[in-house]
Amino acid sequence: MKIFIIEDDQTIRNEPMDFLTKYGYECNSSDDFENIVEASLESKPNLILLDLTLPYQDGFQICRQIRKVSSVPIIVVTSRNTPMDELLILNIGADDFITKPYDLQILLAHIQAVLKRTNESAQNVFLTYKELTLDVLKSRVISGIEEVELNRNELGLLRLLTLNKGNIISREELMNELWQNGDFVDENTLNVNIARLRRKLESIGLEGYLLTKRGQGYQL
Amino acid sequence: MSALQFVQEKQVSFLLKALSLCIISFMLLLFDLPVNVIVLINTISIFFFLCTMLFEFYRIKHYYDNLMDIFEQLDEKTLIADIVQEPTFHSGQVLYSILKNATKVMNDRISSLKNSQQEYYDYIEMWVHEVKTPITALRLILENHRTSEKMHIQTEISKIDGYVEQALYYARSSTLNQDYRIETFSLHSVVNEAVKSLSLTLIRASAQINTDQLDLKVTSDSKWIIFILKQLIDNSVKYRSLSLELSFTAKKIEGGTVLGITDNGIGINEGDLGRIFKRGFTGTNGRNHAKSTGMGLYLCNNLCEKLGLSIKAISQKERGTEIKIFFPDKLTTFD
Repeated sequence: MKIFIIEDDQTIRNEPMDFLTKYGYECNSSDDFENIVEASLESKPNLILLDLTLPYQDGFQICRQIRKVSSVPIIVVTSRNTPMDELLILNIGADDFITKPYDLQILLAHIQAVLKRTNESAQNVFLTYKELTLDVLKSRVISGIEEVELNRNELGLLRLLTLNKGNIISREELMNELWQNGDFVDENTLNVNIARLRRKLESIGLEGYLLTKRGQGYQL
Repeated sequence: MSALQFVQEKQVSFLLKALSLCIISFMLLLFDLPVNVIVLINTISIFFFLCTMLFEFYRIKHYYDNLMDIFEQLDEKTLIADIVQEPTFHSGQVLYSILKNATKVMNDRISSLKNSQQEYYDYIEMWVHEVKTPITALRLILENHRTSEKMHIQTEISKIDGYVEQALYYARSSTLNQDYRIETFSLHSVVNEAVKSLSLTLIRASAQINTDQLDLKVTSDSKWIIFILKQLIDNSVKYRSLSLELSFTAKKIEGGTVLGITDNGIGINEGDLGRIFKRGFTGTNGRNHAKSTGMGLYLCNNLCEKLGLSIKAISQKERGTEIKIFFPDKLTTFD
């Protein structure tokens, strides 16, 4: 699955690229903004991330030019959030937009949603750590031939832990992950969720995987 | 202008006329003219005098009545001189030219102020968009590179983001040209959005969030509502006592829907309660507890007014505060 990122700010271009690469997307970009339309189409992307304020020409013009020749899904990433801008963005044929500042998880969710909608062969997203494989889209964890379904909270927790491969994740950060899912849990509920997740992992033979680090947090 | 006022104004003319008639009659009497001739002369003279007066009265009355009518109907009062015609009598002409020049100076000044306000607003808007780029960059770096201080830095970044947003909404609330996007949405969606974006601050405060009946739908501009809710949540966190309990409850009442945001914080002094929505008001809490700019609630009130909502606060010292926002079923005012 290829993603082309059109963005002139180095950091805002590179950080999502690093992140999306972790999720198995192939990311490309270019510094040549004069010929950015050609460059983006040449790499035959499955999706384009487009900033609006760019050198040479703005995102609106680029979007129009791409639309003339291709129907590739486009997500506009912008810091302008007036109703007028939203209207313009959707009218020139973009599929979705995200306003800055955004979280990478949000960006990923939008990308997955757009790809699903535009029917670009709903590809699986797998995250792995040691013997553990997490199937993010189907919400299940696989170890060898055994697998177990996860609920939304457990998936969120395990995704964050797997992404950070062996680093300690603080309780606050885990709670924040659940809050971002729309479940405003307290400390006790987090404990319950962690315990349940640990039992599920043990049930498919992944014992000693979810470690408690006293006073610091949890580690996969 | 009534006839009596006119006569009062012209009393000197009337007196002098009467005096002159008396003197003439007396002199004619001395010349031994018959009385009825004198009466005739007087009658003719009085008749023409009254005609002159009547003509003048109607001319002035017509002009000023017309002027008053236009003035009362006019929204932009300072444009009066461009609409009324120049009077035909000299005393009116003098005042008219003064009025014309004075309103011209005033109108020029108003339009230059409006221009500079618009330019300033445009600049603020542009600046906010500019500054969001580095904020985004910081967040992205932080998400990809683990440091032990990640959560701390993230909390500080969301504070910066909050202040930047406040500046934008302040600018939006104080300019005349507005773009709203009015839609119907569930209260659940806006409360969720607001809580999510302040999640780190709330988790740090060990907050417990309760919601009730938030599937009720209201019609307004959701972005503005989210901003207002964020200001209110921020206050609840700032002025909490021990562990924060925050409840969002919606209720359908006659003519609309009420959203209540209740906390168990330190509450507001009764003496301060009436003034918390005033600009720059900090009150006892603002001085003794978290530092306050007196901007948050002022902005909330201001934005609510523009959206045609009403907001009020109920509080008990040491027990907590409840802020109620009323969404009417029929939106009316957009000034």
